[in-house]
Amino acid sequence: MMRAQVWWACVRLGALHRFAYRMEVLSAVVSAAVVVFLNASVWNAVVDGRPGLAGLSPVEVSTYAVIAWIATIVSATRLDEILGARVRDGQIATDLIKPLDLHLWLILRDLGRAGASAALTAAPVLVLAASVFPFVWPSRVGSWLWVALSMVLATLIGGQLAFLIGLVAFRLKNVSGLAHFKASATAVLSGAVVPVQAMPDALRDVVVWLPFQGMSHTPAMLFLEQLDGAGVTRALGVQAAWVVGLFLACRWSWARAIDHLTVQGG
Amino acid sequence: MTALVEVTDLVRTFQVRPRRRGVVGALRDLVSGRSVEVAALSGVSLTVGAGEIVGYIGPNGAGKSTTIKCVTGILKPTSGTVRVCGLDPWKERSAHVRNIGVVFGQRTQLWWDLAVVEALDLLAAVFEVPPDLYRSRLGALQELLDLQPLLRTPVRELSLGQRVRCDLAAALLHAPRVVLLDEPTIGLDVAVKHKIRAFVRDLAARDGVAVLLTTHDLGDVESLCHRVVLVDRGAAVFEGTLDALRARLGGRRRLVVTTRGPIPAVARDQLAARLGVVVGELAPDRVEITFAAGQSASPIVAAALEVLGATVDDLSLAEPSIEEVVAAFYAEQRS
Repeated sequence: MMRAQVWWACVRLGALHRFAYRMEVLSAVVSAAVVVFLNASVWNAVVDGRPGLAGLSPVEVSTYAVIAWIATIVSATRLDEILGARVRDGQIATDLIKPLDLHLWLILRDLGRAGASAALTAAPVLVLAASVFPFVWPSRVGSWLWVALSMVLATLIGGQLAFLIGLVAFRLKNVSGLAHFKASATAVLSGAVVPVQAMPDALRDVVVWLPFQGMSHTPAMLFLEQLDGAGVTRALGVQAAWVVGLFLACRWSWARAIDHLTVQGG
Repeated sequence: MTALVEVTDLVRTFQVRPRRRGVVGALRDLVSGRSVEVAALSGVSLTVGAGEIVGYIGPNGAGKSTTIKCVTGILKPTSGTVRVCGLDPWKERSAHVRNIGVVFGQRTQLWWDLAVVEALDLLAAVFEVPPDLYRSRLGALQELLDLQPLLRTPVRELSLGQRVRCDLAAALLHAPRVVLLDEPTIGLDVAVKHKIRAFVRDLAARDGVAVLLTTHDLGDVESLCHRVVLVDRGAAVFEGTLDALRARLGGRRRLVVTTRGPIPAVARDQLAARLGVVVGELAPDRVEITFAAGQSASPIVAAALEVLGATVDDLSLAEPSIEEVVAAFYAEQRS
């Protein structure tokens, strides 16, 4: 375990990395805007002239389509590919010569990355999308608080899922296939592409038990104020349970993966 | 002298999957790859004491990097023991890494996109160096390694020599008692090499740091190392001083005599007969007398002066170069 000062330094590092290249910051905004606009356009077309969809009014569907994608932009991470690449080229050696808990280190770094993404990418795209598409803002200040908390939990879920996949690299040396699979699975199962309510019953029954919906469906529902008091507690509780569950899975896997590490290259 | 690094009978094996050739071979590998056990280290022992610089040398693939990885604690030994400052690097990694500073010449431990000073700040936080100590150490390192102009530069924009200097500073911020240098001078120009050598020499002499150095640059070894360990095919094949290595291999010393005017052939033969050594002609006015490394030069100098007399203009004595010695050693091991 590390001290608070180190935690903070680490969160800061994640954010600093995000600011390193001006063009990257700009292109992240542009590509996020394109995807969000595409998704929102499709769903606005779907509900056009209808009373709503799966209990959501047209304007709520439109808002869901925007928020769910933006949440994924913040919570989905390339940590798996980063960790995989460090194992593949042996750079992992330089992480292991520092008195760091690599799991916490990478997760906190990802939190910093997510914070920077929220400020630099998500916020401008949100404002832009809200001014173009039918959109409802939360009516209560408290909802913002729940959304923020939910986004932190969403990021911790995304980060730890990616960490687990990255650990596979310790055995297999290559994770890009798995990482791609995870990225597609996340987009579909989180509700970012299709709102969870609108999924076929059989799929929805499975999806609500998976961690992915915590990465965008839950924040979107909180943003739309679709949940009552107990519902909010339950939704955040499920997210928190996944954070804890994945935390334990990461600890357990890390202890085993490190035994199999062979640092490549001279 | 207390040994800070103790490696005893270190063995490390790897599972390797030999690949078949071509596309068909690659496809067959996907389905039925068989793995083979290969021993990278088969019983290496070595020690490094406080204030000592030990050169760890050997041909490519000899097991140098594997040893360093086991000593840094990033690789689990298959068998044998490694102790650094009394700790097991593998089992007590987080306590152990506070005792060591590592420089991998071929990669950086700094963060590619951060400015050097940001990276050093972060490392100081990670290693929990108290702020006032950090300030004074950074000041000293800045001076010694000439870092001042580099601090604001992102790591990715540094030249190789600048990067290695910054990596050295990074490795020493937490004042480690053991420093592991894995090919620290690879690819560096002569001036930077000299600077780094002087720095490392001081580190051992002044601060009593134990230094384990792997290198292919025998200039590093010759100018720095008190002792060398030669490793080949996973086993230590020699341990001792450079002089001991020279003596053991029977390296050759050379006395070159230059005269005013040509040296008659008869004088050369006379010298050879008298000393029982080889006398070669380098130029009409220059001969080279070759003799064993263990032999004293004075009787040979005396004989040369006596036979060639007042025509002798200059004498120079050359020791066998460490390059020759090590090359001879590798050759001996392979035969």
